Amino acid sequence: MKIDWAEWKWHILFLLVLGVMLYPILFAVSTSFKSMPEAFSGGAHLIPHEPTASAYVRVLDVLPFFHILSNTFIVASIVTAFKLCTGVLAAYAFVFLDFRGKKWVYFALISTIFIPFTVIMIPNYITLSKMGLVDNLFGMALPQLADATGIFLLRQHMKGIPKALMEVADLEGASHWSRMRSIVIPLVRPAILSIGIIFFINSWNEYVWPALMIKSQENYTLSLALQMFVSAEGGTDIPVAMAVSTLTMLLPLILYAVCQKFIIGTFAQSGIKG
Amino acid sequence: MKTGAGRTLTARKWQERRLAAVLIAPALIVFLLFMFWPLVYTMYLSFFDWNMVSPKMIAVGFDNYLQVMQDPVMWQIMRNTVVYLLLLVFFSFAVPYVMAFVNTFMMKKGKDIYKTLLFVPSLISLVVGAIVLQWIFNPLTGPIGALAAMVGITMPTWSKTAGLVIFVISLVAVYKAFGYNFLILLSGMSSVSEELIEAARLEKAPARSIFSKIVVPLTSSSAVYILIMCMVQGIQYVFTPIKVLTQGGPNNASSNLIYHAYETAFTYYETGISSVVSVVTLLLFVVLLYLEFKYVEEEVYYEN
Amino acid sequence: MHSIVLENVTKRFGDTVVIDRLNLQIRKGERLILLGSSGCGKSTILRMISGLETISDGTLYLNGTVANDIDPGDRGVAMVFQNYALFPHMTIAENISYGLRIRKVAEDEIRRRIDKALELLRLTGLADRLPKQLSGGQRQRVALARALVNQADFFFLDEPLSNLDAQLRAHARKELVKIHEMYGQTFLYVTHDQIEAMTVGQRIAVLDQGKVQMLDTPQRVYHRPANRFVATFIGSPAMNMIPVRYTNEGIVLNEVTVAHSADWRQHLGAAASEPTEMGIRPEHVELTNEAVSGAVPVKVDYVEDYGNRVAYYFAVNGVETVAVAPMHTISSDVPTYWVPNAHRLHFFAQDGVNVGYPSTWEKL
Repeated sequence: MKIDWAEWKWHILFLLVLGVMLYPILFAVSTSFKSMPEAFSGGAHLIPHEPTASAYVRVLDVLPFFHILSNTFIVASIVTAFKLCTGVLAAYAFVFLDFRGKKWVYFALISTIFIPFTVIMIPNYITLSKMGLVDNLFGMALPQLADATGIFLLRQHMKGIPKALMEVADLEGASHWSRMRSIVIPLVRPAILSIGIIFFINSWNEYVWPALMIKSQENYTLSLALQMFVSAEGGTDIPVAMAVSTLTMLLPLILYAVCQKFIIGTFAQSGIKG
Repeated sequence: MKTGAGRTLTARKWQERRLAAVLIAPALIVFLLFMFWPLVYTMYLSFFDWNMVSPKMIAVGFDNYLQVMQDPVMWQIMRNTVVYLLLLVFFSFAVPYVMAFVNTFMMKKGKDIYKTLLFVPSLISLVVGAIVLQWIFNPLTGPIGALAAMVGITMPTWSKTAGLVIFVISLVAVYKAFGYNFLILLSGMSSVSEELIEAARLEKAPARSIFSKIVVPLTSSSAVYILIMCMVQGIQYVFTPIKVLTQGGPNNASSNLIYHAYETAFTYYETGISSVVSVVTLLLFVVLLYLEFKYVEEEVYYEN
Repeated sequence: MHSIVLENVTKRFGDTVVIDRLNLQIRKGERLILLGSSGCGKSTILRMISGLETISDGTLYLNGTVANDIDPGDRGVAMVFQNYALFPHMTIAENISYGLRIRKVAEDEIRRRIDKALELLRLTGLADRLPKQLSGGQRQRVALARALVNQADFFFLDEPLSNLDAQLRAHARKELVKIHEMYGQTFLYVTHDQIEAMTVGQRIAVLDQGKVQMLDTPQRVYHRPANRFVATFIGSPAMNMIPVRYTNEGIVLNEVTVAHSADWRQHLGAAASEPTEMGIRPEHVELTNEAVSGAVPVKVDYVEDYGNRVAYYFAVNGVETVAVAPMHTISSDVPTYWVPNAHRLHFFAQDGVNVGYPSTWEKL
């Protein structure tokens, strides 16, 4: 095998960057299997000298872990389901229907991506508080629903459907609901799947709204639970902190491992222009 | 099927308009409730003095704005914000951009695996990132500290050091944004025609000039988009590590516009001041949105 | 009875007028071709009739009813698209039965029609495949099948053969004519290919820039072109158009006066407009090395041998002229003579309109 030095130097660069990027994850996992003394002794080594799963056992002592896990899962599911449904419907309208002011409405929705959460946090808190939904999982989910990236991506993908296919539907007098069901959704299914997974992961990882809204431990999500392990110096029980971190990372990583081709494909393809 | 009178095109136009309203309504309602109304209300709040609970709201005109502009802390916040933005742009935009270029045009085999693997950190929660990076950078017990000690350097306590704290905090945001930005920039690169590059290579053009004279202009739309998103998202990303690790300290050294707005609202209950800070942040973003519109949306407009 | 009538139909895109007051009558059950080059508006006309484009001005009648505003789904139109527009995620059977399922036709009836269509178009056994598993020719037949099973009044085809290889096209043309003869629907066929137009059409509408230049049978379009445009558009190689000056004695060609034949002298003498161009197809002439009566001296400066015929290029009255012969029999060192067949001449006036043919000639 001929070694092409010119190319190899780039591979080395990439491998270095990759190493730096993946190291923290590996480090967290490895530390979660270390005993407390070993974790605190410092050192960069990744393979624990005396691996132990004791941190994971301690997790259950410290937290109602499964309850928190299910909180996070429920909220992520609701948010994902809502955003996907409304996103598909809205994207269909923007692509296949004509109405006055369409460009303006779309622009208004898309430009919300540029609104920092601080601009909306106080009123949202007040709204939810008036609805009695502060410190409530459902209430915490609500502000997460106003996310236009799904509409943006789905619209891009729907625009890729050849116009002639819809003209076939025109000539058969097919209703829009029928077209959505039998033509559009099947054709953008991979995109819906990947976008759904990303929505789920984002909600799973969400910190801002839970931090603002949730007070009682009973309603904690994983992000809030993790926060409990942080003190200014990063003291306390590091292996347990790493164990909870690892457990939190588990679901997104598994989803990614399974659907990675879809996900990369959806984002690589939609691009920004086109 | 036989020709029949049946439906008309005019009727269809009205049907479609009604249907469009139905289809967009759910999303729109959510947006109105949790985006647009709050936006307006925050701007309204910036003219009042209110602590979020008291039934009394005192109208103060532009006093809040004056107060904010005269506050030295605010200027420190602004400086911090700029530093954050520079770090974010360098590490989560410029570096991935160059690497995307290298990956597309200077590598042939085995290059696709990188985009898949580099994306992994983007799936990790910022809280996890914050905690893990905090531990890694722990001067006493973290691996970097250990490596530094081996070389004889004492690692500073970054969480107590003004400049370093911004650096480490931004690394958490970079960690999250890098893989995603890389992916999008990479796909933008693929739209550059191979032939142009081949032609340039035949003329022995150095890589640097291929990059600046061919690739940059041709990928400018996706690049500008990512540049702006990396600033807009990045500055919000850093909120999490700030809140989790330093709470803006030491002495606001790690705070920025986002965190400051949060702190004034939910720690000091000064909703008026917080709203002013938010409005300033929004203005900054609007400028960025305008720039993006000029470069990127122009193409989308033509498409439409 | 005319099943499709366009009355002063105009189509505007923004400020550009693409079709200007078009008048067209299509007979029930006929095969009509809309022939023209890209951009002449032929697809636009098809789409306006089917309802996929709106009509800016004028009236469209379908079977006697005003149809401008009727939803495309209710016009009774089945269409075959240029790129077939098959649903990539549906099987062949699902693709073909799409319209039937929308209209809630009974299941067993659907089954019956699919089977019949598959058999007719030689697609049996492919019912459960996906479009991407089929060849181009097969996909085209699926598009046909889908249009057929609807049993629509109107069968529209938008350049349906342009993506097929030349060999497949000949076969497909035959198939289309057979299908029409079996089912008798009104066929409206859009193409830029004159061979398809000549072989498939019962009448051809030759279009240029949104206007009908001539609407007639293939024979008359070929042998009695209404104007210069039609004359040069149909036929390959194109008809030679030679600028001439009309005199009582005859026509001057390469400084030789060729006398009129009797029928032409009488007709041209009485014609309303003066002919300024003479048209003659490359295959309707003789090239010899002998000076016979009616021969025009020419100097061959280029020869192309196609194998099945030979093309000679020379100048007549300063204009490049082509003559086609089955074999290469002319020697270029000896004087060459060009003898156009008087019974195959065409004369055109200054405005491009054909001045007509002697009344003694057969009516095609």
